[in-house]
Amino acid sequence: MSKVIKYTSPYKFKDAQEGAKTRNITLDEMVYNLERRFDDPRAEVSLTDAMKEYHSAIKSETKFQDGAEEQFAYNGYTMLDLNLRRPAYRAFGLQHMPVIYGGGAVETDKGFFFRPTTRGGRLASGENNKVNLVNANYETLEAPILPITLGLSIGIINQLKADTISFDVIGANHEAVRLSYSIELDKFLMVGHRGIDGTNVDGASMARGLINLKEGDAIISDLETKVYSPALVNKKFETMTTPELIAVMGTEYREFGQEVAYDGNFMPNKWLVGPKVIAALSAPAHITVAGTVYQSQLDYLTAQFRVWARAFEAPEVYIQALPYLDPVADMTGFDTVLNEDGTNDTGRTILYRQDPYVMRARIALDLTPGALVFDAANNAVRRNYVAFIGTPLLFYPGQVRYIDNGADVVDSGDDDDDGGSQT
Amino acid sequence: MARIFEYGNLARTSNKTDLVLPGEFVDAQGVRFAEAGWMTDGNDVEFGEIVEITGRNGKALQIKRVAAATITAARAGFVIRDIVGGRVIQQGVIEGIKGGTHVPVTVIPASSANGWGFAIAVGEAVAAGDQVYVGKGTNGKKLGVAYKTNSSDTVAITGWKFTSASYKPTSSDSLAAFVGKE
Repeated sequence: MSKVIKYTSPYKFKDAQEGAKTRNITLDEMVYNLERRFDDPRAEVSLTDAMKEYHSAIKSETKFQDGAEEQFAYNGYTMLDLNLRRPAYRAFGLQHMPVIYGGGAVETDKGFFFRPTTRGGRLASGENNKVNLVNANYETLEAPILPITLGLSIGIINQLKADTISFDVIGANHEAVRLSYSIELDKFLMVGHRGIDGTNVDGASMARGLINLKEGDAIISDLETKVYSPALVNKKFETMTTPELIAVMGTEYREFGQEVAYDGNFMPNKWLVGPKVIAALSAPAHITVAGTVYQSQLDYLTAQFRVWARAFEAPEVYIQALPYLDPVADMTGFDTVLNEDGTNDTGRTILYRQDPYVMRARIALDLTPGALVFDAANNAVRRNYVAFIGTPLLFYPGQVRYIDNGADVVDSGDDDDDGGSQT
Repeated sequence: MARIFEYGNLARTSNKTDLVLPGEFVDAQGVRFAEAGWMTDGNDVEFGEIVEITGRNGKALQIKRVAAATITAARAGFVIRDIVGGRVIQQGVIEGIKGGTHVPVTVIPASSANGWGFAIAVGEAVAAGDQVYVGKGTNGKKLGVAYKTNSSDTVAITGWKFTSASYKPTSSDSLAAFVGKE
């Protein structure tokens, strides 16, 4: 994309560009020559100031440099603030799912798992000839890669008008394409192919993402039904006491470790939680109903994660917020197809190992623009973009744990909230 | 495929021992009598399956899927896991060879004096010491799958016993067990 600059000058950027081409000099040199005639103490603008403003105009991406403000009426009594405000935006896919690049226009992302079949040793005697044998096996795993396409189209008259005021309409539309692609990437990485068929239903054979893996690929612990020791009275994170929270997370961390033989290279290093649960866990740590503000539940849990990690020579588990895991009614501002609020629709948490060795997706072809062409049939300037995106390939099924929030708030039995049980 | 054994995922740790896939050797003592087998009926053949030997020529054993009317202990053979190319693009573990592919498989005739132990697919829980039977395809006893039950739906593979309890070598519920010559 060519740079567009606009700054306060008696001539337009395109004039300078055309002049530079005609004289076969650089744009910098052209601007310098044009401004030089003002290098006169009697002139209002000095060359130094003009060049400084010109270079700052090139560097700045947030200023209203593309001339779009010229579409709006204003007079000499109007102060224009040329700092362009943009919408808030956040994507989470690339933050929580490892990605590798390369491959081009392909259809399948395939990987291999190797397992040596270990055996016990057989006793040997002086003349024996019986030996236990080992083996080595390979398993392939695959994930589909789909092409997606986006495009921009500017009617020819609109393009001519934009050129008149040096408004970079192509650039503005390109930004929309870039953000659209980022949202699409979030969908592939987080929920796989959900939504492609027009529904929010996860089909049995549908490729999945990080937050909606099928049972078996992810181990799903439903706080409403799973039995912990000690047994839970409160089955929602929002109402759990600190001992209950530690019983849940300690059990889940330990069971995760059992699945990976407590190998530090596979132990979990991230617990993804919806913002609602993060907020609830910021409540003071307490044994029964309420406690003093010594530390929050989150502080206490974080400390215990650190203790467990040291005990197993494993990495520390980082607790991070992912809005897609909140109950759908609380997840505003995002496409609902990205929501996965667990078995009881009260929120999901994910304990997993963020590591491309364990699970990663492939972007076979990152967003690639085609040529900017004139479409005579539609009388418009067009540019299409294409990308090839794969869904996450989980090499270790069972090594992602979903801990789904319980269904109901349970009465603790302390009606007068005095810390004692109900009589 | 997956007629006699449904493959799940391989175990993701190596700490658990003896998770041997159907058709793999588990121990060696003395010689083994293993011949190349040529599937003659166009059926798929899976590693760890019990097949029926219909003849032998200068090239190979002629084998086919077990038939209830003709299978006997003398005609039975065990299919050993070989290295073959997966004929269908799929994910998972290679299960055997597709019917009609021109690939010989390794077969150990049940009648041979064989000193090597190996794993096979079983259709029910078995214990070490149980007699090996093959299903005849009736009343839930699948053709080519090993059982411990003596009934009109199975045929005894005389001279062969299970040498281990049954186990699940992959994440599916399908079972395998070691067998050896008595």
